[in-house]
Amino acid sequence: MPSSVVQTERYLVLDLGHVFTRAFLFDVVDGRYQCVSIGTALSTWEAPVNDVRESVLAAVEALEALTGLRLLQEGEILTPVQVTGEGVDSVHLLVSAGPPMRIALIGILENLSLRSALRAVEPYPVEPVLRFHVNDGLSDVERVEQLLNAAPDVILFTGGTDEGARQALLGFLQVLEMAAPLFPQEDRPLVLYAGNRMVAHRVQQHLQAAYEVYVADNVRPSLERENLVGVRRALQEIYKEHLVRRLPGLEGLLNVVRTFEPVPLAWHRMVRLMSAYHHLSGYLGLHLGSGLSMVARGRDALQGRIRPFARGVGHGLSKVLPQVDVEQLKGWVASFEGSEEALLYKAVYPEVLPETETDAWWERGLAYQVGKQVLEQGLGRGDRRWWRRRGLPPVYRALFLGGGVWSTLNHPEALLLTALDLLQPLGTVTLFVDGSHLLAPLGLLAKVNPFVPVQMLRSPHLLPLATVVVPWGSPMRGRNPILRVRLSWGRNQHLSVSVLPGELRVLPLPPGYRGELVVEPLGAYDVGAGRGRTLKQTVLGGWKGVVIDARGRPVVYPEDPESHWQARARWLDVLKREEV
Amino acid sequence: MPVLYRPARQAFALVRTRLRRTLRRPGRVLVQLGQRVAPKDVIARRPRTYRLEILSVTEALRVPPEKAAQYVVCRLGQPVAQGDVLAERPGLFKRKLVAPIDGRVLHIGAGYIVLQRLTAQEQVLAGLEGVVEELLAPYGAVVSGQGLFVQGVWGNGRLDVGTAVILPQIFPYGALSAPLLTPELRGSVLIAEQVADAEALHQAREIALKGLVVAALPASLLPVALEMPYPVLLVEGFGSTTFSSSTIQVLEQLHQRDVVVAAEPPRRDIGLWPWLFSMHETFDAVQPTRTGGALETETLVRVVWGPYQGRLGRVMEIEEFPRVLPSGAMGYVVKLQIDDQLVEVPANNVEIVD
Repeated sequence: MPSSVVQTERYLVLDLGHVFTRAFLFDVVDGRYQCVSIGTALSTWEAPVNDVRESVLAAVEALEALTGLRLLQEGEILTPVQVTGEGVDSVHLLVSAGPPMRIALIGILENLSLRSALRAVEPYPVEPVLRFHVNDGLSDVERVEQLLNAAPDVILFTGGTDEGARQALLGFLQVLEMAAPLFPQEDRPLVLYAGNRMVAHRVQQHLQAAYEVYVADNVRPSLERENLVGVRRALQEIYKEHLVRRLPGLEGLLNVVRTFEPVPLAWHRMVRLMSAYHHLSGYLGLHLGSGLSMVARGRDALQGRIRPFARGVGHGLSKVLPQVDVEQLKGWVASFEGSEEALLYKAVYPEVLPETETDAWWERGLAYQVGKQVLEQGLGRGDRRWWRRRGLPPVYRALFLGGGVWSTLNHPEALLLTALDLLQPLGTVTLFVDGSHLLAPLGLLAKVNPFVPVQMLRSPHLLPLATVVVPWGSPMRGRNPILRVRLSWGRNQHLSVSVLPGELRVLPLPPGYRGELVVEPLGAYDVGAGRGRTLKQTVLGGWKGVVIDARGRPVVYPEDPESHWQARARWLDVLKREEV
Repeated sequence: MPVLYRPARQAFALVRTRLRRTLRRPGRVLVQLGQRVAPKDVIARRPRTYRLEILSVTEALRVPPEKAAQYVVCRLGQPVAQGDVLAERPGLFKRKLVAPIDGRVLHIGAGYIVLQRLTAQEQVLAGLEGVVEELLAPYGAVVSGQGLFVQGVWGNGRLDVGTAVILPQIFPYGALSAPLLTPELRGSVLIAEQVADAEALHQAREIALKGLVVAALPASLLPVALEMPYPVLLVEGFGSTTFSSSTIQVLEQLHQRDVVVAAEPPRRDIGLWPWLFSMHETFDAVQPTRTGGALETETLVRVVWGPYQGRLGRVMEIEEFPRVLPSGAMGYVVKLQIDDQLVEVPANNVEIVD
């Protein structure tokens, strides 16, 4: 495996999404790794083609057309790089398309092994369909019935420390034995055992005649220690097998692929890397895809979590449709008759793209609602409590947005306003938008050759959309300024403004620049340095510079759709104006 | 030119269609290759829910587990009624184990008999009159048939057969209202452009209509349609969309013909849309249906989203590379001839009509 830039390789990363299949070409240009180009094709995992290879081929052909570089030979990806310079050295695969893996979780204690089991499966696109523990109050027969009714793809069987409980485990073993002959032969789940290792051999012996059994290290080797490495390694393989059964053509594709990873893991790795690189401890990431969405959050690069959800603004819309507030959605567009009907069309045709600006606003309105649902589920317990109490997400210093709905790059103000209203940040926050869909491919390559993502950290694709300053803690009232802001950058460039309550201001700080920001609260406001304290901070420039959002929190729009739209249009105009 | 695959949804006057009739999860396939099937024949089935009764042969007969099997008199998979003998030990101290419920023997072994209570079944019906052309065990089969075939957008999940009736007041233009639904229409499948209100849907239930085929329904009527016991099929979409001219031409031919209305929810994974079918085996040169294909110049398409939604157009050009649309989204663009206009539409937003 290469670990030095001296040993340069040309990488092809394939990303199989619900709507699009993308092929990313990474190579060394001018002494640094860069994303040379991106080939895009419509995904073909569904009818009429039902073969993922077709869209891969089309995406690579598009890449060939864009770069003029031959990457295919007789319908196969040309590896390694030929003496003529054609081809790629290795192919890497990301997948977000396909249905989630249904998983049943078994643990002895709800707060111990079952909790570890839940954490183990957390980064994978899985749908926990069942949970058993010794205090669930169910009889064995009821458990067997529930197992059969839930029809899981996988049973994750945990419980007991390595020297601990055995009897309860054997009780669950009996349940699995009873259930085995009752599952239809073709619908029998596989079993991943990650409990007390003293019982592992016995579990395997008893179950292997009926089930396909995997054994991994105990998720709770002792009461104090949690070990998720082994079980996640096994889950990755199992998830790959799950996709092979559900995505025709994937098995053949895997033959040419060197590394495979589900999108959430790769996307999260890059989010962590970027927040660490920019010294932004405390990050929140929201990825809204067509069929898969995810929430990433963490205090620093080492401690973070990601939770994917099989819902989204396209293929996953049917799961969130009952919770969509159509009246509120109407407030996102100037004149969108038939908003309810539009939702139904979108559920039937999940792959459609917004064509006009009106369509785009409607889709952003939908993303706002789906995003809120996903965020609430993806945040941790403490964060959720905070949100419910204040009506706001907790404080983070870096916000990352990803997914197709955020890739409308020629409307940065619209993106920014949607992001501000959805995430309602507090304090001083840097906002990144993954409009080129590069984070997941770079996250995957970080495992293969860390030089690739590191050398691309200053690429224009990865620069912030804006740094946002949001005073909070006291109501925004009165006619007097609440903040004095001074921003200096470059050679003697500086700007001082006073901010009134309810204002939204944009200060220029070009992408790639760093600026010195001094924000002095003129009252008991917190701008990230503590209540009433002046903030002095080096901030990153972005496509929309530095934005001061003194609209108050939470931002509330009028309920009447027309007034709602007018308020939004007003803010949009403000965001288009830059201070000079 | 890029290869852009799009689904197809169409109306055919005469066609040979092949339909994948499959469960989403494995079950039992109940038909055989080459078998002739009627629209309401069950192709495959699986229990919707499992309710189990676990009976100990060992305890009931007072025999050791290893000897229990020799006293079992029922077979695996056998349906049993309450009181049927499942296991019996003859002799002076004769003992019996009887079924406490109506059900099916799901498992015999290790000294136990497991009965599965008879509960609701998830099943897939043939959906047309035809022949089983391919078995897709354990999920279902491919059924093929010849006739008139119209694919819709949405269905309320029901399937039925009846005689198609076209009333000139409501086809091709007009809204179905309750007063039009007279008892003489009992057992028929009505084709209308629109539905006036919820009362019309309720009245259709009162007169035991066998199906309702409309161009579109407003979103507000969908919850009512979902409650109806008869199939409701939307051919063109939602809101106030009207029938396209090509669909009208096919539907006109259905008057007084026996039809199947399979108002199933669409399944994009296998390219299945809800449909209306009328068997017609006495014609030659049948054209097969397809679930979609690659866009080419001259392909006839329907726009399904955006300003031209519902309009038919012919592909005149497919752009080589994706580009940024006025919305800011990135996608492949096709140029369509719609009436006299040449318009640009994202390739994602069209479906093939042929």
